[in-house]
Amino acid sequence: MRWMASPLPAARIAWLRVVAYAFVPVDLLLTTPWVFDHAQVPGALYQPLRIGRLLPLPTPGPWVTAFGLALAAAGAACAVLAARRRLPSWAGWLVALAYLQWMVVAFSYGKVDHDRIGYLVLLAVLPTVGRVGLRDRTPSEAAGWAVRATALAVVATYALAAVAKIRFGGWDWVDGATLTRAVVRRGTAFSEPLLDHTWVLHAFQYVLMGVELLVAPLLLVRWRREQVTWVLTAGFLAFHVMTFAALTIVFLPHCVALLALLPLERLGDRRPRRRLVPA
Amino acid sequence: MHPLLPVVGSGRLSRRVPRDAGRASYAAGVAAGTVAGGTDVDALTVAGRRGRAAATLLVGALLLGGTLFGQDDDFPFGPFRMYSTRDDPDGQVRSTRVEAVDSSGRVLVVPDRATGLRRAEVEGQVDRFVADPSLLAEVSRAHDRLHPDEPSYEVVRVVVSLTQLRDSRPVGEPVDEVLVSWSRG
Repeated sequence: MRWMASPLPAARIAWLRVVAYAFVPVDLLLTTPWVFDHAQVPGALYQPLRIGRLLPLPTPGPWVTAFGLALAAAGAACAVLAARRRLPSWAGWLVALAYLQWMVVAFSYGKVDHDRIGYLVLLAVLPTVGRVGLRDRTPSEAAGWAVRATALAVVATYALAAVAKIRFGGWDWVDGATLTRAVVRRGTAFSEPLLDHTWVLHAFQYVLMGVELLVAPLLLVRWRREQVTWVLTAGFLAFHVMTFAALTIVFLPHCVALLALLPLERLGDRRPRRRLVPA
Repeated sequence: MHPLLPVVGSGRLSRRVPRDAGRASYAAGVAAGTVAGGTDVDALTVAGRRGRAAATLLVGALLLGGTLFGQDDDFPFGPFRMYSTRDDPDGQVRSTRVEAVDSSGRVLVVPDRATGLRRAEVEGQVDRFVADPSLLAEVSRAHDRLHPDEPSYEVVRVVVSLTQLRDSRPVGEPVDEVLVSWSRG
């Protein structure tokens, strides 16, 4: 708990708010606009997730369109208010809950995406810090906890993905043909040539497992040399870009959560060079 | 070290206390770069700390439990099972698509955005379609609603294409198999 709440500059949260809330309209309108299509899908094809069965959530229908547009607008408004240090915490809670409802609309038709937990945690922790400004360098334990909680969720996504591979694929997952299947199903001009050199895909399964289990937790270490965190974070972002090039799958919400690890508060500096150790 | 200085802080759950010198290099680094506002740490109250510790442990436990015992249905705590199944290097790759015959007689592969159901969603519900082919009528209806200007789908079928692998390498041409089909009328 000492590590979780060791203070970080309050401005980190202000910047994260701007990025995370601005991403809401990006996600809804640009990167995953198909969720809106569920408004027109007959209710018989709605197979609510457990959370949708436990809570009295409405069956998607035409209301989804208005709801999605309102949520996108609310996200944009929150980003603007956060930049001006005027965002009330209730607005942050409202966006977090509405986004969770949006996820139920998205994933209750037979397919769940696995790139959301980091972003959902980020949306949930952002309102736990008071009003903060983009240049507010006050060390804040609340900000520290919010960033560490997000970092834990990001790292858990990697590490638990490796656990899931062992659970569902078995210990010999690394020697299977999973990546070959992935390229056969949704390969691109970049990845399809690899079907002639499948040893690369085979070897990459070892790399993937190793990185998820052993390298990802290093994101949680507070390195004496902050460059290490930069390099690690950039490395994981590059991995997601590569996945997109190979399979046209991008874990964009997860990448937004990954940004929490970087010392975003420096964006508010007038003079660029200041020594700061990231999370 | 001061036990409790007067509260000047902002939020309900926080109070300002002087920076604990023992709290290390990090805060020192911050102080060096502080523009204004001095060296105070915006600290959490005991209740604030406990609440956060409890929330962290609860979510952590749910995630771990979901990974070990849960399914996709347990979102957001289900297992992160993207590409977690193992494919037999000498097995078959199954790739599903939805085909339709529209009222103009054209046969087409239904694109992801045409019916409101993505390919993976059709795969996820494929057992329901096989058990009750009339559910595919709902897919056709969704297409009518989303694209009223396009010809209706008179036939909707789910086709799986099987690619044989040998030593993780695709061999031969894929073979198609119709899993379930519905036609109007």
